[in-house]
Amino acid sequence: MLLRVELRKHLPVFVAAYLATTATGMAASLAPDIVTLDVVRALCTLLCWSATTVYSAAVVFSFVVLGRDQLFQISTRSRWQLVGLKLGVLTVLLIVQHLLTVGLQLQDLLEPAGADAAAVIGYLMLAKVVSIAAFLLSVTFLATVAKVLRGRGVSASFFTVGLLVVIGVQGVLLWRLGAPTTQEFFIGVGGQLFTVNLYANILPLTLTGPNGGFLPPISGLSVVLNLIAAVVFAAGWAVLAKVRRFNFLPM
Amino acid sequence: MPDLLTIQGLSVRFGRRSAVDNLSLTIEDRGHVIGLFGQNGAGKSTLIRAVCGVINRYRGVISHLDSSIAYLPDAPFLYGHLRLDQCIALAQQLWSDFDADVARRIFAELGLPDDLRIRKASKGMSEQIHLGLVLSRRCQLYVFDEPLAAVDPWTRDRLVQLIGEHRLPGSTALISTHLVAGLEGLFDEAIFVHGGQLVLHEDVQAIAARGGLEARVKEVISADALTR
Repeated sequence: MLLRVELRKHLPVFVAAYLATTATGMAASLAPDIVTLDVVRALCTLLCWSATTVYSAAVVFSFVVLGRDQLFQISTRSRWQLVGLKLGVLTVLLIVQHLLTVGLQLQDLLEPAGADAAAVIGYLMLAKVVSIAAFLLSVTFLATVAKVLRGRGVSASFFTVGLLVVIGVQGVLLWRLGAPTTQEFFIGVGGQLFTVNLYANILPLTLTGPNGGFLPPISGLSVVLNLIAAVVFAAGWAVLAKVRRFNFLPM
Repeated sequence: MPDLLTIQGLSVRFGRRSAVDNLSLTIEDRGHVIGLFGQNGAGKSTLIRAVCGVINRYRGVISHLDSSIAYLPDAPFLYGHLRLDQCIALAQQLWSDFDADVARRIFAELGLPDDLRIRKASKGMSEQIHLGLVLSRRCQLYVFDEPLAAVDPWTRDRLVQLIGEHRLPGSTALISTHLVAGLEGLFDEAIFVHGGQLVLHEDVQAIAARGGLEARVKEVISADALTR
């Protein structure tokens, strides 16, 4: 029941994103010659991901910092355990969105991949799942730190700027460590085989024209960096929750 | 008689504002209904939130006999899309001390159907549903934050009756309110908070002998105003 109720809270936003992704993706697959449809699909994917990403961050912020969802706040269960439940549900919903996004482009990706198809699918799933985990854990850590600050405006500003800094730092690290000589990064993912989809936290980046084929070392680095970020933010969150007393007042 | 709740030197500040100031209070495990009185902004809700674990950043010591406290906040908390039977199922998962059979009995007595959606319930019904769920928890201390503030006199009497009949037998209920008139019969003890400080904690019987709750409350406020 708890899971169902939590899922129900977020379904309207995610179902709208799923429907838009599916509709534009199917239209683009059914008429591959119409370039406009492909552009619409790409734009829709970008908008849907932006919306669900911002929404997920807002869910965590409003529960942790603003003390919303009072029924959960007055439970005898630990509030941090309930944050964990929210993160779990959001993770599943974001993964489903990724499955839909990738599923609708599968043919474009797999045909040229040939024997590497399994590796391609494996990488696309692993990279995204780890990036979702890194994102949600960094959001939770930042919200927990923002909770210490006084005032809704100050907390919200810290949270937003903090998240941008985290994503920026991860992006720069990825670039400087993985491809210091490359100057061409684009925000967003590409649908062609010979572009590499990387994730700096949740932000998708595209590195064009890699020399080492579809899975050069930098794609592994992207996953490793996100994995490290996830572990570091989870540990930071756990320590903060353990050592500091927090108020859970509605703000 | 063991102490159900002991508060020593409790101070809560929000920035420069002191909401509760060095307040000490002991509530014994006597199964009483205790009125927590005070004007708006006196510190009643802050005191309750500190006792119930919503506010954890404070100075002083709060110790309970029983670790779980059934707390009814001053605002509705149920999701509008839920049916009553779903509320019960959810409460069972959220509160370890929740007794679903008690909840079903309370709602049956109130004539509220299982399939009633929260968003379809009237304000009075919603108050009764929230109160019914909290009363279905089996613990020694129930804390209600302004449950009687925004309801008509008939609903108010029904809520008072619910608290009297359905809480765990022998348990204590702490009810915060700024209403005094017509509620004397409900309370066994009265606690009065003013300016974040405890200014009165007496048995209602003793207060009645001195002219009644309302007169005593006004007397305490006037005396406190003179000393400040």
